[in-house]
Amino acid sequence: MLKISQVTKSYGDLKANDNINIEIPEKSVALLVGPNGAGKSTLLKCIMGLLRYSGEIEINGLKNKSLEAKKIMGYVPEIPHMYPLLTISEHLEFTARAYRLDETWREKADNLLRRFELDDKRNKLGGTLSKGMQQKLSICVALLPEPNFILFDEPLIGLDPYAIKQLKDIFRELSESGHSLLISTHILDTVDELWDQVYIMNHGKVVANGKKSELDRLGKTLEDFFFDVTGNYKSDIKSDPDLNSNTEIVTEQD
Amino acid sequence: MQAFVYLKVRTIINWFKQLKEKPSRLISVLFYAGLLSVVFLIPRGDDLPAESKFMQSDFSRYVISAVFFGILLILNAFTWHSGTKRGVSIFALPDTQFLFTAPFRPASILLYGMLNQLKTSLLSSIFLLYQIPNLHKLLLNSGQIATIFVVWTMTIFFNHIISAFIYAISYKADKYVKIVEIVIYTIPILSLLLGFFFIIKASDVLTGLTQFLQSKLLYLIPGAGWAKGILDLALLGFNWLGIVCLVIFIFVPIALMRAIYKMDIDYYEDAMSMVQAAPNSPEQQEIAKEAQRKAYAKFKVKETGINKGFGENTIFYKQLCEYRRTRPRIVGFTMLTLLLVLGGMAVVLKNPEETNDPLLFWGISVIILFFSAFNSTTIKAFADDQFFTLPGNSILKVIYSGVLGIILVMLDLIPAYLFVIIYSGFNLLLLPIGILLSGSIFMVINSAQILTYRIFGEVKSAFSVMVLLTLSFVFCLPGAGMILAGGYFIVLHGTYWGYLLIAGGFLANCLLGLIGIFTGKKYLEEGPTR
Repeated sequence: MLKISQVTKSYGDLKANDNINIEIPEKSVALLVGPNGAGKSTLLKCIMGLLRYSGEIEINGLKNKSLEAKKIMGYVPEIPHMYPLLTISEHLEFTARAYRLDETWREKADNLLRRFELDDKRNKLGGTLSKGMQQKLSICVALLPEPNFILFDEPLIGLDPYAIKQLKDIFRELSESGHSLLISTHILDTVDELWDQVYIMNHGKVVANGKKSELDRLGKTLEDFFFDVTGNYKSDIKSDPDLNSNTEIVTEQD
Repeated sequence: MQAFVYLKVRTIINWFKQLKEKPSRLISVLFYAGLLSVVFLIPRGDDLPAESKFMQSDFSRYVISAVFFGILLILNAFTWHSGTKRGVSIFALPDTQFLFTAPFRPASILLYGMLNQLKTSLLSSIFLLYQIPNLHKLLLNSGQIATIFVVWTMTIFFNHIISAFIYAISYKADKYVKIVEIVIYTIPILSLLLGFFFIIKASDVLTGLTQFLQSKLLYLIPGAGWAKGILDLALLGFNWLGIVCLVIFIFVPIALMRAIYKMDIDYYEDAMSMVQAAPNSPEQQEIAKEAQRKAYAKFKVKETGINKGFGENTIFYKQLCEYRRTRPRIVGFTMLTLLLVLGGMAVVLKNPEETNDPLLFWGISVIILFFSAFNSTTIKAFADDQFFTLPGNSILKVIYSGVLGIILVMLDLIPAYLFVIIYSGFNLLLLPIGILLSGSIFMVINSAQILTYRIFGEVKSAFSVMVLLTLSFVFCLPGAGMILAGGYFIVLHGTYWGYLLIAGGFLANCLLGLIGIFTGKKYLEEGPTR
């Protein structure tokens, strides 16, 4: 489905992505995890064909910057930006027109709006939406054209618990119906049961990757794996016997 | 294309729908609509018989053609130059999410962005409507006037297409930008040189100028030259070169659009850096830092003064640091404008038999300052959250936020006042008095700014700017009126009342300045309105 070969993205002297090689098979859910500033969002934007980079990225054998590839890709950015003078339903209609969807899009749009509790707010302007509602709309817009391959950049940030539950259900449904997902996150426990493989990024590089089945076999959680690989976090909680309820948390950076 | 049209149409419809909910916007729309209606109510005016001969002459038509050519030449340079710049904001943040990720050709998105700008250009050319009565006075028929409007619109459209083309070819390599810039600057310079050549060759200036304006060489200039060719065709009668210009002007934009459409362009990063006011992700921060580094690297400022601040006055030193980083030279646009305008006035009005009234120069300088004072350090400080969170005395914080603006205004005035005083032979004591009086006027404008900020929580919308202008004008009236009246009494009657009035005007300004300071204090203590 997705093949990334030797992708490097630089900003001056800073290499935001350094020689990235990733292959994600069809019908799988891949996680891209890493600390802040690891280069996850940059990589997603490179995959989406938004940035200039060196290397090759292909989706289903198509160059990622081609129009054909864009038709089968969906993208939920980390920070949603809605048109302030378009309503929720107009955002969806614009997307339907941009992707040249057939008339059934209206039904799909209604369904998405209901799931994310936006159906009674469909006439609200983008400029009046809260950050959470913008994020929900952003997800609806990405899912409306029913892309085969969807990129989620920190999709759970800003969502309320109900929307998080809905999105997790959607992840599951998409995965079961054969879609491929690449979810970038630095919150490790939010997608625990959903993923098939994980790529850990640090300082612009993919420092490790692994399959869920392998980790399960070793009896390790995603969090264990992450800290094993990045190895830069040691937690030591010391109880002070003299102060009953006080605890001191000590962290060290290597 | 259908999606772009939908996006534009819905945005416009919703904008109008919103007027019901936003009275401030409705009022500003009504205000502008009223202003525009004045255009159509302007009477044609009576034809002046003495001028009628000139009006009917071919020379007057050449003048019309030349004036439009000149304006279009300047527009050419500005619009083409915008195509070479990375900092031109033609996209909004939602465009980067919705347009760049959708299956649109990058060229279509670029054209959409550039044509979006067309609206602004066309709106700004409304001033042309004001010329309708004058064009009628020059005995142009309706067809000729309509041709002028069509040619104007065509040129603006062409300029935006060529700007998109320049952007598309130059985004990859800086060397193309340099070539384009050389072409942009060479065209007007060559036109000027050609004009000088004709004037020097001819027996007198008027003949030389006429020959220059009649020269078919000007038709070679893309955009402005072709427009002149079509205008000459409409105003002066049939000529084959005019027809050629018309054909070129129709086909070249089509060819350019086709070329842009076929180009493989990729400019999301530029679009992001244009619109990203507050960078969020690390890579956006890196882009912003790089841009800032480049901007700061242009000037070497060793001492910015930031290390001298303490407590409330850190606001002043922070502003000083930012100002010196971006504009380290004392000589700026306002200083030069004041020097040129007041200096020019002093030279023109120099007459040994009459005494030039220094108040005239002061009045003009105040008018110039009135319009240049809106890039205020106070408003910038008020928009900064640190202004609220910084511990300290609120009154001192407000005062320190406006001090730099007042000092800069006073600095801007010194060369102009000095030149006028020396050239016109005024008393040197007028220099500090003039600067002090101007400084007091700026304090009043500062008060109006603070008050407007207190009302709106920003000074960005058209309506808030209108309120700011009105308040500034009203606040300036008592002080400036008293000072001017005082000067009038002194010059004409030499009475002591005049001095008292000037002092009263100064005090009135200080009083209004204090009102601003206390309004600002209250605003600070209540917290931001926005």
